[in-house]
Amino acid sequence: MRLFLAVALAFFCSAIHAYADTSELEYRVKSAFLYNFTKFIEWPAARQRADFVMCVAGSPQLHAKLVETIGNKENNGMPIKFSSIRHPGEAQNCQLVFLGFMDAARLNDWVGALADTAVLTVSDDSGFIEMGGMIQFVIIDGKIRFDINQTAANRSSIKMSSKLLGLARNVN
Amino acid sequence: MTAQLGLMTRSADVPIRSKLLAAIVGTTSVCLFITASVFLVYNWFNVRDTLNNNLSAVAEVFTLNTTAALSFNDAPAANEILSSLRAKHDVLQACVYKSDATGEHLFARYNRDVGSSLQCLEVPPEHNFYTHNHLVVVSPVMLGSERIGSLYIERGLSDLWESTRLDSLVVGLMVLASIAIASILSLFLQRLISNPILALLQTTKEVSVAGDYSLRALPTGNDEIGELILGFNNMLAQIESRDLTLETTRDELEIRIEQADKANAELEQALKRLKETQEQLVNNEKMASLGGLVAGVAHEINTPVGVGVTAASTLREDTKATTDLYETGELTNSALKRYFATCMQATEIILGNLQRAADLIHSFKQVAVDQTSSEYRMFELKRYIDETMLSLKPKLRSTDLVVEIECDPNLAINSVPGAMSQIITNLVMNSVQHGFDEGEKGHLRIAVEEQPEQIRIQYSDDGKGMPPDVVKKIFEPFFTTRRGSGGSGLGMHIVYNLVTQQLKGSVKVRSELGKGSVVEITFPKRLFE
Repeated sequence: MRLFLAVALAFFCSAIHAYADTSELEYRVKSAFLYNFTKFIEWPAARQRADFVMCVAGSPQLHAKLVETIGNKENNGMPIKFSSIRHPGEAQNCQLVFLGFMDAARLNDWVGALADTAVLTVSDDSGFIEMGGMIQFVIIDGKIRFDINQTAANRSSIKMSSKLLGLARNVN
Repeated sequence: MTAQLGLMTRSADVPIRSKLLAAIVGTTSVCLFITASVFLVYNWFNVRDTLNNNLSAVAEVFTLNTTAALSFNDAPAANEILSSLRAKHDVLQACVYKSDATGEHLFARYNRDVGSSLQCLEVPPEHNFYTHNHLVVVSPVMLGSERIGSLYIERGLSDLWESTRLDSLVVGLMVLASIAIASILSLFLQRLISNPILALLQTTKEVSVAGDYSLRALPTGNDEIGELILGFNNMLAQIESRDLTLETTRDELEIRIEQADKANAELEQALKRLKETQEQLVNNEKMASLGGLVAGVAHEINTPVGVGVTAASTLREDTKATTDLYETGELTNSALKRYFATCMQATEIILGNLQRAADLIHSFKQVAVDQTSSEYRMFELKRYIDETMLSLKPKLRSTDLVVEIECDPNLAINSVPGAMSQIITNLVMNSVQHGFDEGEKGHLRIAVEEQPEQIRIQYSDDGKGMPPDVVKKIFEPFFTTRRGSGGSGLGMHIVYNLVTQQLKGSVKVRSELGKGSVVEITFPKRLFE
């Protein structure tokens, strides 16, 4: 599985140009990014449970890809679990929530609901950061990069590694 | 081998001060050089290790910093991170490799000098390594427990070499300064050892030059040199006491020699007096024999002179009677003729006897002159012996001894006649006085034998002879068997002296009791020719 991931990562630099609209590859890279985020982010002690739970809302494809690519990975010795949720209330056990909605109003609801809950919010939406979301994927020159809303993260007591901040396109 | 020997002799000739100096400074220098070298090498390794550690720490930081870029596959970010190495002037280049299924591949790189020939390797080396002037650290980039890549950092070692050069310079200067200080210190410290030795040497020289063993070396302490000085002083003391003993002994010896000399001088004086006395005695003896000679001469001349006087008085009586006859006119022709005859007879008698007296006086005069001189001349031996015997006639007249002389009348020799006559006189007188009783009949024989270069006179009598102990001592002065009855004990001694000293000959005596005595005299025919 690791080998597979490595192959996928190696691929994607060139592949993403050729197949920019290939959601398959995009999901794969995003899965890897999501997993990598966990390495550079520290959740408050209250959030550290027995399991690390990665939740996906509004994007079953990504959920499937996550399970496929990093399904047997660990975080700090804890196995990573995946959960597909529909309401912000279901995010109680999640450390990370990917919001796959294209609807700004719904995103706003989710962001508002999850503010101050120590849940990392990630989305593709271009206005996500302005809404108060924490990490927003962007595509620059055919490469996936990300913006970070450190203020929002700090409000939720989520610490982001400076390294991660260093890689971000923009940090608010 | 010879070179080594030469070196050894040369080093043995070097003064002790220089040797000590060389030993101290040499040892110090070698130790300092070793210490400095070890320090420099150790320091070099130490600094290199420090540089290595520093670079490793840098690598550590940069591996951490590049983790995110690697994991998010963000090569520009990685390049940017690496470019912050520009603050590290020593880092020449850095390379980040990303792990994937096919191994590690170059992901990002940094090169200090853009135009540098340094290139990142395709695949990172597995371990850190050094080259002559490069240090390479390879550090894994970990994400959690997963290795996601490698960081390769290379730095130059020019600063290491620079600092080593600086260290060498400083250490070298310090070593030189230390050697200089050691030299100065040892100049003073070596005196602790060399000064007592040199002082001892000085004392030794003074002692040997001046020969003064009362000098002492100054003791310096209780170390080995102190013991040496003590031993030396002890030796000097022994020599001094020995010298003293020697001197005392020598003084004693000198006193003894002086005493002996004095005794010798006294002895010599005594001997001299003795010899003088002896000479005097000999002279007395000579005078005595001269006196005898005079007596003999008087006696011999008495007869012809007496005859002459008688004849002269007879002639005077006859002349007076004839004169009376003539005055009275009674002188007859025949009476005149008888008177003339008487005149003739008387004058002949007077003339003959005066002639005889003159002859006697002449020969006596010769013998007497010769007896008092030691001149040598040519003379006829036979005639001279006869003349000597003539002078002895008065002595022999009262004896009943017959003298026989066997000698070639033509034999002339060059010798000392005075000695000859005295020898014969003494021998004859010896025989007369000791060889025969008074009135005893006997023979005296003088036999002269001519040899090619020598004359041998054998004098013998047939008298009483002498016992061997007398024969043994016969030539000793003052040896006599008749001390009470006028023997001087010098006769034969004078004979011995005259034969050996004046005639340059030798004399031997043979005698046995009752068989007479034989004296054999041998001497050169010609003296000083």
